[in-house]
Amino acid sequence: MIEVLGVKKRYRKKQVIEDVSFTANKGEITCLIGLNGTGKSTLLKGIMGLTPFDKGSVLIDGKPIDLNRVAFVADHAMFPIHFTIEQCEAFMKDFYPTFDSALFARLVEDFKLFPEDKLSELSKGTLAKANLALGIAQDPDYLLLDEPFSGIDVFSKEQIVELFSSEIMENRGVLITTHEIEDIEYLIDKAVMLNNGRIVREFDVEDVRFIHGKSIVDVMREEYGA
Amino acid sequence: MNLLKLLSWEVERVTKPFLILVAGLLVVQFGYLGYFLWDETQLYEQLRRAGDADYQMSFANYLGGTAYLLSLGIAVAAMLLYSVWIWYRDFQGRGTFMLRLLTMPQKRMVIFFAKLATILMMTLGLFAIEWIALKLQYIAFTSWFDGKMIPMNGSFEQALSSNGILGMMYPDSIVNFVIHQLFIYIVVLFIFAFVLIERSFWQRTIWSPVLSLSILVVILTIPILGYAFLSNRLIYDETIMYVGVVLIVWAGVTIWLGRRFLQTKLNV
Amino acid sequence: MKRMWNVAALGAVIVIGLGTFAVDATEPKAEWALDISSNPSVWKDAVVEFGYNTDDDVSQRYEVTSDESRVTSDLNYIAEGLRYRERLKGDARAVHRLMNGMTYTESIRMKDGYVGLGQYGNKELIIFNQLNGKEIKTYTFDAKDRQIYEILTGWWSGLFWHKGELNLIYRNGYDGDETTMLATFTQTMDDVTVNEIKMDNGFITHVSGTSYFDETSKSPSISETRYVPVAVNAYETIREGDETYYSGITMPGQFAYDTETGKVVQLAGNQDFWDYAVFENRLFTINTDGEETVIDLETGKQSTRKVLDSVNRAFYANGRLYQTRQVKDGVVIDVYEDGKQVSSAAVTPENEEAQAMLDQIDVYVRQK
Repeated sequence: MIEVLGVKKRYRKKQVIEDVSFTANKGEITCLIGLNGTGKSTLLKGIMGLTPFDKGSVLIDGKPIDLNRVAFVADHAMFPIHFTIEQCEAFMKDFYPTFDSALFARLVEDFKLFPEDKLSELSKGTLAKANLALGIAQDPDYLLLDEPFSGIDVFSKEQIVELFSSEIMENRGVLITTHEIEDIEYLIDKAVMLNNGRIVREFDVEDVRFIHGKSIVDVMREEYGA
Repeated sequence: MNLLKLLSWEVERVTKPFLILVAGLLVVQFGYLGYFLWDETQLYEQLRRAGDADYQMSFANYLGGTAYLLSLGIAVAAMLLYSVWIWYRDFQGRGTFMLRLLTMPQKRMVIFFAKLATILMMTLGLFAIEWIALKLQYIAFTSWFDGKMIPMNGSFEQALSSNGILGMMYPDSIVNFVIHQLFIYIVVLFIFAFVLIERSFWQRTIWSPVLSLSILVVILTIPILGYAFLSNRLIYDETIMYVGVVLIVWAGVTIWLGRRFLQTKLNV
Repeated sequence: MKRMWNVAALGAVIVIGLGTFAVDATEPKAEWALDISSNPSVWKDAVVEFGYNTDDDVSQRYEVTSDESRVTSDLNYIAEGLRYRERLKGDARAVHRLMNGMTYTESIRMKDGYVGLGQYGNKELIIFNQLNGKEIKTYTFDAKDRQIYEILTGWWSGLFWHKGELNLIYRNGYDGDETTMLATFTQTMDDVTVNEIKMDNGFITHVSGTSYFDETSKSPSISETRYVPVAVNAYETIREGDETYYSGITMPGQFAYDTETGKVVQLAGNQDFWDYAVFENRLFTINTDGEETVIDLETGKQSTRKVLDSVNRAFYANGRLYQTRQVKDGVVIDVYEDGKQVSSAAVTPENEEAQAMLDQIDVYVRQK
């Protein structure tokens, strides 16, 4: 379980994240929902130690973060863009003891990626798939995905969604941020809604759907008044 | 082991620009040497015909030439620039490599030392290549003037030690060479510390470089001011010891700062 | 793994380049020995210093004692510091520390320690006296006092000690208009009187036993005598057509300032001297014929004796006369004391590097 406990982060005079606490369970997909600029990416980066929080702490299964068990996938390339996918894989193999080459090969095939392609030549959707493949092949217990669907074509979205429901993702905890909720609504187990740096609502998606008969978008409308 | 692996990635990334730099230096130096030999020979022949060719060629004259010194300047500038760029490029552009580097399951100081070792290898490489180039240039120099029966004076060593910059680059003693190298790495460490402090301000405004520069200027100037204060009280051997201690403190403080900011404060 | 080849290749370049540099490095490699043929006790506290100088090479310096040979030129910073520390021991360190910030200073070594004068720019004149070889007493004169200002701006020729008082000989004026002045500092070190030393011809340029700037004398302390050996210069006027030049020359012979009469007297004739030195209360000179003149600085009495058949290179050190000469396989140093040879030794090359530079070395001897 990822536990985020009372984290805070300010930018100039504005409190970007104000006392946020939530949990994300293993084997579940937890979605951080919010409009643009509500601090979702900052939260993910904060969990990974890429933008340290001013206050608060993050525990993974009760312990400080172990980077062998948690993978982060950004919404853009995490390698120099003149690297080929092959080179990225070689780099991952060098530094991630848990990197699963067979799994990576399978993902490359599923996603129809070409290992000799340079990252700079990839379309946004292909790049997102390559990023995801590199992240999943780390074989992590928890996967943190920052806006994986933003600005990508519909077929790529489908491929990714398909992956989420496959056995590859079983038993992994996924924490995902997105503002395009429709595409993955039915995959999500838990939603955490953010507004102005605060959690405005945290709920079990099934409960809301079955008990209250509302979709996430309905809840979003309520909260954000859009 | 991770350090060595990361070092090899860093070296691979710099291989092409490094080779371009080396090629540029050699072209400038040998090109200028050719021009120098031709020009001096012309001048000498003119004097010989006039009957007053009583001056002798010295390798030191070539080494003191603007083009030669400029080539060294370019190398220094390139290395300083690269010490900054080796960090900034990983924060810049569409592929933010720093995200990857910082989320790797390893101590973040491995990144620091891999980058430091890359710069170290590059500077040592440049020193090594330049030494061999100098030897070849000296051979070309002596054999050309020998062939033209034009008298020369001074040895290779003398020419080097009479040139301020080369005398420092290639001192007479190996121990001093190592100490001069340490000076270079301290400059690099200061640059590293600057970048890491600057990149740790989440709110990137004009003030972040100014502020991080100020921190380092303070660290740099305290021992220098201390020396101005102490210089009348310290005698020679104590001064040497003072400088030694200052170097160790500078290296220690910049590494400590780099570590602190890299591990707990860096913002990507 | 193939990426490691880049590192290995760059590593190989470094090893080759810097390897040749390390092999070529001009760190002097010559080794020498001091072969003592007679009376080793003479060499117990002596160090033979010598330099190698040629137009075409980097100059080198060495030191040889009865048990070791070492390079003293182009030392690395650490070795340089250690060597300095070794040579500047105990009492002298305190004096050096004091002299460090001064813009100019001169000192003499007494039995108790150093006594001297220093200046901070033209603003302050400092007199210092090391008591019992430890504690240093100083007194500062302000240049606002006209008399002090004149002392500060004069050319300092040297110092001597007389009747518990420090005396400075300096000169004012230039180009033939020099006047030699004597400044006497009182025992209490807080007052000074200045008088002119009347000279028939020329002016005093040097006072024997004075250490200039921050060198501190290694030679034994000087003793107080009636006659203080000095060097005298004079100007010759040369006329070339309408133009007049002044040319300074050192007056031949040995001169001394007579502390009783306040005059400068000539102690020895107009000869060319190879070297001269004061040991205790006697002045020794060696002329080009190999004759040594010994002058008693209390009475002015002198005696002459033939010491060397011919002078090759002779110098005084540690109260002895040394004569060096080049031979095929080394440099022979003969040592004389009181006109008689007491020892002989030779600096000999121990390896090829030393052999190659043998005919280009100048040898000196100093006290350990």
